[in-house]
Amino acid sequence: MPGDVGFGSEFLAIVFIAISLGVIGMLAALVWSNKHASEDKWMGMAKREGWYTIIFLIVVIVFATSTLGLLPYPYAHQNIHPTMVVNVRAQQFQWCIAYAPNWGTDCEAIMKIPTGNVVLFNTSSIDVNHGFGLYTSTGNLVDQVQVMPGFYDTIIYNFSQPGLYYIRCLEFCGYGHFGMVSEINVTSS
Amino acid sequence: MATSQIEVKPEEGQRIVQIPSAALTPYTKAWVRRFLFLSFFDFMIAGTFALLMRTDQASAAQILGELGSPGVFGQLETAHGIGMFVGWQFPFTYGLCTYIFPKYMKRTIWSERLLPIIFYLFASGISLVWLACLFGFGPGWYFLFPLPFAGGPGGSSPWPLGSSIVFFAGMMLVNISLVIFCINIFGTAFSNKYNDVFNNSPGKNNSISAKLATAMGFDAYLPSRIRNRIVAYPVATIGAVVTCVDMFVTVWPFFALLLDGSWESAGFGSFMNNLVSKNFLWLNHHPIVYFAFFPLVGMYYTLIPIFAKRAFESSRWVRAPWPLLLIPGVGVYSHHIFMDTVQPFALQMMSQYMTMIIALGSGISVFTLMGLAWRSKYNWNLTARWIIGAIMGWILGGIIGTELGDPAYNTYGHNTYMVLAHFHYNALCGIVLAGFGVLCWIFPEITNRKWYSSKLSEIHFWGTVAFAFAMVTDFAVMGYLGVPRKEWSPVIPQLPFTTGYSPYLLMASLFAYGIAISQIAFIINIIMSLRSKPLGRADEIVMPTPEFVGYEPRYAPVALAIDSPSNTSNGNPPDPRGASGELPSDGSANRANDVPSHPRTGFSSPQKFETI
Repeated sequence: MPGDVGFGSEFLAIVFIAISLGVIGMLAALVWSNKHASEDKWMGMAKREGWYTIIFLIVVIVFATSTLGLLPYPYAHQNIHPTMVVNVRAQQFQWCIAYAPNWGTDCEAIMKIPTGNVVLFNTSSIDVNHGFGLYTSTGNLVDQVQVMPGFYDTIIYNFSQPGLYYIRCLEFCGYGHFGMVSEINVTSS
Repeated sequence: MATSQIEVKPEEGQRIVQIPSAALTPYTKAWVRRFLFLSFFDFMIAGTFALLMRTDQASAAQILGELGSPGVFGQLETAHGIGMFVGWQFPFTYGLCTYIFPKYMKRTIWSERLLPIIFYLFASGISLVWLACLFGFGPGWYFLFPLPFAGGPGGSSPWPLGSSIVFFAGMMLVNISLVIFCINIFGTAFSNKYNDVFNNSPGKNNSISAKLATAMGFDAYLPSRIRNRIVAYPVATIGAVVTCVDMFVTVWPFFALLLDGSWESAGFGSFMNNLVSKNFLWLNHHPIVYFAFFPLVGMYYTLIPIFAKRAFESSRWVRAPWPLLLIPGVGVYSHHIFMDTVQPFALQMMSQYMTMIIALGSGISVFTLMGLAWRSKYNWNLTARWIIGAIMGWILGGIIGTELGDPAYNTYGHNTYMVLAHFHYNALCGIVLAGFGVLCWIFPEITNRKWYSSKLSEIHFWGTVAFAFAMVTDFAVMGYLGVPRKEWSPVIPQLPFTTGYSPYLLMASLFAYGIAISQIAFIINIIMSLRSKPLGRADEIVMPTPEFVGYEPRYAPVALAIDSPSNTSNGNPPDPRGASGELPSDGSANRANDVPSHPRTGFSSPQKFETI
């Protein structure tokens, strides 16, 4: 579940940088290889193509399957029980975040959540599509979910670290979209 | 892994020939020119929109003054995205495919009379789309219902509903042109009217299923006793057929969406809910990104053997990736909806694994293409460099795409600049670079003129490649920092950490200006080239083609014999007139050497054929 295992964009960035450097190296190697051309009239690496395909297939399937335990869908984590439910109503261009069972009323200017709570966010919109994006105070995007009119989208996040968190709309919803922000204060009290 | 049990004689195999294709008629060439020039004209316009967007984001509305507002940004973003994915890509693909079949399959287009209809329908449609944006329409190039025509309390739709009706009407015209184009391509690929080796080989290609199998690469997976009853389609045509199949299948839900959008814009109720409309949108808007890409990959398979002066050892590996691109090309669509927890789980899982399969198809293609060039006497002419650059963009975009194609990691990248980096690597650093390369290659043939200046071509190449990769890498950095996409102002005072975005936004703008300045070289070059006097009919330029001798044996290793000199560095073909300025009197220029008829098939190559 996001928030528990620490995987995030840093890991993705490291993977991207590593493979990008490999790509640059591959290009350099290709140019070098042309200066040391062989006399083969057909593709010399053909014999390796089958093995390459098998290895590539195994890598991508393992990659996809290894993340099944991290799916961002609450229904995929039946063993995780939220300790708190927060209802989120989105509209152009503001969030109404309220403790359950309030929905669209008693909106908190800054939602307060005690540290260590596993929170289920129950989101919906009353007009157009929005995007509930949860950022830490240092700007890490730690969770998100689409917020669609006529449906309830849910996410679970474990606020194990205290501090200020921000909610930013991540789905273009009109011309006030850029300012659609709210705050969550996670404290130990 | 064994590729074939057939022994290859040295004289068999693939030859590079320069033979005029009678199917590439002057009429067809004229329409290829029109489509391609329209596409690059649209590219320049849509690129200008992007430049304004970059300036707006970098300056937080200071430089552009009144132009720098969220409203204008939305209009620009809509016009730019549609302008590139539709305005550039559609006519480019129309033109490229209209060239591919006559050139490499020696078939005239099934109905040349449809070409002007496709052109004018498309041009009208894209004009209406941009007109709608001019009058305020700005929900984005992908538009999630009900934003295009509905707002919040008090009717806060920020643009006139008439503009959304015009937008939907324009998109319908564009997609009608697409349907007609696809029918034309299917007719060219599968019609029985052609009297050629693909229809009239004794005991081969007797059924439509055989033709379908080879036209989409499924023949790579068939046992040899069935494969031997199929005459393989040229790989360049496979990309065209695959992309048309994907688009033809997915255009119908999109028509339903456009009708619903028009209906709602006119004030009537909707006949689909928002989740269904989201599914219909992405069912079409994902394969759309492959529309030019697949035919261009077909061109990589066609051109790289020429530049590497080598043949693929087995055409089975050349054909094997295509089904892995065809089916997942549609099946991956739900990865755009990973962040909707109400989307059925089965569709999410299908899309996740389909994304991995399409990564595999891409990986096989890249290995095959790079493997052919490895340790070859590769000719690094301009077109070859454009193509290698495009393949690099393809790989980098593919890495990010694979990351985003997993729901767990999609959480950190969805709707951030990571998505922008992914499709700009694949689009700008991929298909656009390849598009310039292919234009560089076929321009002399379709215009019968040479390029005006190799220096301008080089400036255009190095400038575009350097600044495009720099800008998109900057996007990737911003993506990993969590910078949101489609924001007029990512930097806002309520979020103190966003001030850290500013240097990257400024850099992206500077690199965008670098790309724009590089296009000036291209514009001057193409105008001066077109203004030059065309060569006479006797000097008609014919670009090299790799051809199989007799089209048999099919999967045997082939030895390459080059009959014509390799291409010169400026993208122009070598001048067959030589030092004397006269064409050789023996007729050897622009003619293949006489090839004895193949002992197994009785056919000689090239085939003489008649079209009905």
